[in-house]
Amino acid sequence: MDITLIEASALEYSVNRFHLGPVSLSVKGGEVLGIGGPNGSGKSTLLKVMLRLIRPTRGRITIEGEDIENMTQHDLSRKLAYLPQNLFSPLNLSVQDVLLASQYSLERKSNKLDAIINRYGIEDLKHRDFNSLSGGEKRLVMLIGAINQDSDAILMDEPDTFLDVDKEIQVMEEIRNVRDSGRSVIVILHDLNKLAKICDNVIMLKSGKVIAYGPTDEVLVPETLEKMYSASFRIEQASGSMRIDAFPKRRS
Amino acid sequence: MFKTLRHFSTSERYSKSGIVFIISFVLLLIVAVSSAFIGVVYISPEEVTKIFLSQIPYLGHYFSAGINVAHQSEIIVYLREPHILGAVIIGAVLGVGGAVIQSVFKNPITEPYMIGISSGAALGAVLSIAIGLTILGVYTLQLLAFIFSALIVGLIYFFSLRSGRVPIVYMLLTGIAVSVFVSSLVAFMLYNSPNLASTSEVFFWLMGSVDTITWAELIPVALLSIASVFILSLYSKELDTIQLGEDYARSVGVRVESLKIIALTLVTISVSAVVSISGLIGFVGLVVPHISRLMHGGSNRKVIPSSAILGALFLVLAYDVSRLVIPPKVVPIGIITGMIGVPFFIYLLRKLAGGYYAD
Repeated sequence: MDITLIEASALEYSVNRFHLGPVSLSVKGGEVLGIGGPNGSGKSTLLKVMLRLIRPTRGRITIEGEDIENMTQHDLSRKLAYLPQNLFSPLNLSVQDVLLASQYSLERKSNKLDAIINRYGIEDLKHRDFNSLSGGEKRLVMLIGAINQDSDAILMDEPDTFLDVDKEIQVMEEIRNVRDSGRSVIVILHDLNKLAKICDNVIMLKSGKVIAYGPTDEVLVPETLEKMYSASFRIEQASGSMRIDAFPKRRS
Repeated sequence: MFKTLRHFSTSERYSKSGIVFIISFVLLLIVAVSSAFIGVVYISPEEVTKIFLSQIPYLGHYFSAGINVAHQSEIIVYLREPHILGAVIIGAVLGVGGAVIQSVFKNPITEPYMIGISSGAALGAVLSIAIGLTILGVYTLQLLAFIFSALIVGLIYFFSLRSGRVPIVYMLLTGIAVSVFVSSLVAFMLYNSPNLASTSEVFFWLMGSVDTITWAELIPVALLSIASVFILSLYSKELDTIQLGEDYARSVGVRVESLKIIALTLVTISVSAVVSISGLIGFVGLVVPHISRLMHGGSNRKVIPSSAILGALFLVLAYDVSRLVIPPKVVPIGIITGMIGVPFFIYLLRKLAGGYYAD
């Protein structure tokens, strides 16, 4: 798939003393774009700007050539799904209700919901109060919801937090499945090794500025990483996979 | 009903939802009809039944022949029936209004009054009496209560606007602040006005009462209420998504700002309308949605209809109690809803909630 799906040009966003951008990027169908960087670097803000949850102060975003400013909320939700960092249901929605909410913009909903619940083997969670789930179960349900929305791209804000190892593998597997089905993923990850593992391209942010953007193996190099974090890095390449180790910074 | 519910696991709660709906609806019918048998003037059950039957369109005249005393018929038809139906409508509107407001504000401790409805309506009511306004006819108080209620909500909404959006916490805080200001105005007028000292009408209104409702007041209010509640129930899916956060609701395709305007407008219209004829009946809007959620889970597809039924049931029962505590007096119903409702709710919370509100 070589068709450009999402294109952001010279995005900027300012609030109080924080300034994000300018950020330009493009995502093709079936591409996984990773967003990395330290805390407070503007990763989540960038995601929200791309989802039109925050209006940029400058720049524009197009999806298949159409400016998202001109799209209806319904049309935008058919293009982009959102997996937020956390979801809280203050009024006791069940897992089933949360999944129903995620497919709000879809036609013919209910029979599909049961199929999805079966496919992910979460029948026992179906009627549970969403808030009573463990952190990992919540994440899984939210991810299923985002996939279930059946949009062209999913924008994920740290889908791997609070997860046990087995659930973490499942999440990474699902991201690959989404990509293999020709849909795009933009994903914020803290873990550099996970970025290396599943992303085609990576954009690295620090204090709102783009430090590097490009193919994963070109971006995740010691020189770039040392600009971003106060640590030293060693990168090993073996049989097509990459391993990044971080050490305390040598005092010069 | 609640005893059995306590033993429901969450999934049983879902599968038994239908039965619980039928039971509560039948209970409402029974309670509403039997309420007509209670009152200061004793009318035999046989007579009451005859009077009921005589009101059936086309067939009624077959039964009216047997009615002994004409004024008994008037007591039932012009007093008890509008009061009981009034309680049904008011209870249903307050229950649904509460469910909707709690969803929009994503907050379980909000209720319709918090967006300025109660203080605005009180201002209108007290103003009409304090100035002695009668330009709008016999229903000046009701009309002014309705108008001021809507005005104050509008004002709060306007104050909360921030570049085209209304941040909901901002609106809640503005609502509380403006309500306190308006309530101070009301208190000042009450303190300062010689007109008010001579009338108990305003005090009855402030305490909440269904005992003065007439058919002429009830019919327009009922029409507005039924229409609003019906339209609100069509938005239950959208209200479910907004509970999960406005950003999330937008991302799944909900037009959040329009939803908020529609929901707040309909709640304001219906709650202002019922408050204008009954005065301030507290607690129903806060508690009934919670009882509904404990019975049916959190989705508004069930919470809205259930809040309508349970709100009506609760208020009719409260009305019965208000007529039975110190006969022949009728205690203002707002006093009863507080006195019975609060202990009942605390009991229910402890018995039913389990881990529901743990954090």
